[in-house]
Amino acid sequence: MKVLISAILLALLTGCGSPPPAANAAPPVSNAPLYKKELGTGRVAGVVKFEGAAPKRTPLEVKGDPRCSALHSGPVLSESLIVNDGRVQNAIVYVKSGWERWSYPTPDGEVVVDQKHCRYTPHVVTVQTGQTIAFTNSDDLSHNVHGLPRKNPPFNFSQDENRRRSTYVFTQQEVGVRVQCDVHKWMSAFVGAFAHPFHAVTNEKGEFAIQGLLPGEYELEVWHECHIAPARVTVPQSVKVEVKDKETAGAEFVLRLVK
Amino acid sequence: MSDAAISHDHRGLRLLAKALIPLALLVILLGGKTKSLEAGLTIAEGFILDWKPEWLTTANISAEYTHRISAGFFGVMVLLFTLWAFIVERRRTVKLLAVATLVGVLVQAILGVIAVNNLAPARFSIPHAVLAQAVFVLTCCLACLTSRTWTSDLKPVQESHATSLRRLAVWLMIAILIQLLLGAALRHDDKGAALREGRGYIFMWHLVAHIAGAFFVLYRVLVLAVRVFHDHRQFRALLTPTRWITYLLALQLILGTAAAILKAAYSMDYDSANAPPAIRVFFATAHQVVGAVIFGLSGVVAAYSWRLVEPSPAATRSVPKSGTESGTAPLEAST
Repeated sequence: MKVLISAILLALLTGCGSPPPAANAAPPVSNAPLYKKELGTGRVAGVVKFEGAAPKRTPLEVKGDPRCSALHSGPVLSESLIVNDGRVQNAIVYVKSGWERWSYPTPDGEVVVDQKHCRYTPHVVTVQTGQTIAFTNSDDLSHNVHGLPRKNPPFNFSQDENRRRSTYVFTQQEVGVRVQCDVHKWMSAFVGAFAHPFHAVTNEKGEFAIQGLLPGEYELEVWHECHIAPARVTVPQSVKVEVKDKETAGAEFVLRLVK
Repeated sequence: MSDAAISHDHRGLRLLAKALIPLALLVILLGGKTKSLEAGLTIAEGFILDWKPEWLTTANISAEYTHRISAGFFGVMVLLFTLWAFIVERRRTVKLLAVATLVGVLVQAILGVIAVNNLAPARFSIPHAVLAQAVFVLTCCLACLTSRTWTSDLKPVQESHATSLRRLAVWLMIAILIQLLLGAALRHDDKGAALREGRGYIFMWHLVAHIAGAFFVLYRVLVLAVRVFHDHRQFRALLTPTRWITYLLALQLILGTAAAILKAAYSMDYDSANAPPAIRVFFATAHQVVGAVIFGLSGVVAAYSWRLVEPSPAATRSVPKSGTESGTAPLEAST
């Protein structure tokens, strides 16, 4: 009986079997030499374009919490597909292969996703495995930060005026992890976690730049949240680029609406 | 179970037993609403002591928070009933049933905490959903056992059917329980998350099984209703809940169809990062609550079948007896 009670109490206290947030460690890379940023002088830069007329951004239903509604005078537009002059914002471009030749130290800095005016800012971020991602709350109201990874342990943090910061560490590579607020359903963000530092999110002009690459051939891929099933856009196949010292290789991706 | 061991002085216990029914239903309603709003994880901690006034006015948190408050209040009321029953009640069955309800509430609370702490996986959410319905049936049975009909000196009638009413009622309860399990599996399949994460949607068998289960429940209801309407019309305690089961089953089929259509329609509406529409919340929650009421009523019929109807000796041997189609041999036929 004591064992049973202890097991129940332990389960309640620990979350019963759910793995704790990941330890601060990069995934193992077998005997590969340590990557040093100063050695990587190559660069890949490019743009993610959208072919055809992009759908209009739909207004979100910012209701259910009057304090959130009060923070917005006009309509709050969906960030799921932002196309400016035929260029796609918030796409993740990353090195899919070619990075495995080195092992990568965990970056010191952390990536911050803030909750401000009942939105996640930025909407899409990338991190390196082992690197801390911090979710902060600039709003004076309650949010929860609910992550839905598949390969990494899921997470859920309550936040309010007194608990304004929660951290998480991805241990496995995983692209497009949805993070949502269950209190305010319109709030969502996406995270790409990689075992290397060669990833970027496109800016409002659809541009990206990946720096610090050592010479060699790399395979680049693009991810966009509208490609998640049921897909609304198609993403192109990966492209190969040849990177040379102190040079910038170009790459371009074109997204299309699913017909 | 024909003992009239409870005195009329314990009207309060009877009233409390009746009051537990709407309270349990309220907890189920709020839990169903929380699930329909996908708001079960708005409070990340499974067990909390602090709270904020705005939780009662913020749409999604209020659903989860009022569910927890009502469940806590219901638990206190069940504890009160159990203690009271141990003081004033002489029947062992009532005490056992009260303890079973209390244990059910405690297990339910633990399951709820574990489910939230583990981010509501189906392996905890489904038992949490089904156990709630079981606790509701127990409260219905408590109300039956403490009712005036039960404690009156009414003599049971003896049936002459090979299959007893008790058996028909228990079969219906089993059919509904399986149906509730399938419904909970369908509801907690997390199709939305599967779609968001690009996983395949493989839960179609839940829907097919739930539809097949609906027809099986319909069959069992018809079998029970024919028996009650034909042989036990004189017992209002059997006739009224059976009538309501048939009415509500018709309503339930409509609600279920609407809930399934709306779920399918809005699950594909990925672009809408908004809260589930009110119409979907309404139909899904109503379908769940009406399912609970039908289950509770089947428990009432089963309970009263023990009190009011004695199975024929043939039924206890499970051997059909020739010339027994006339139904019951009433010993006393009035309630």
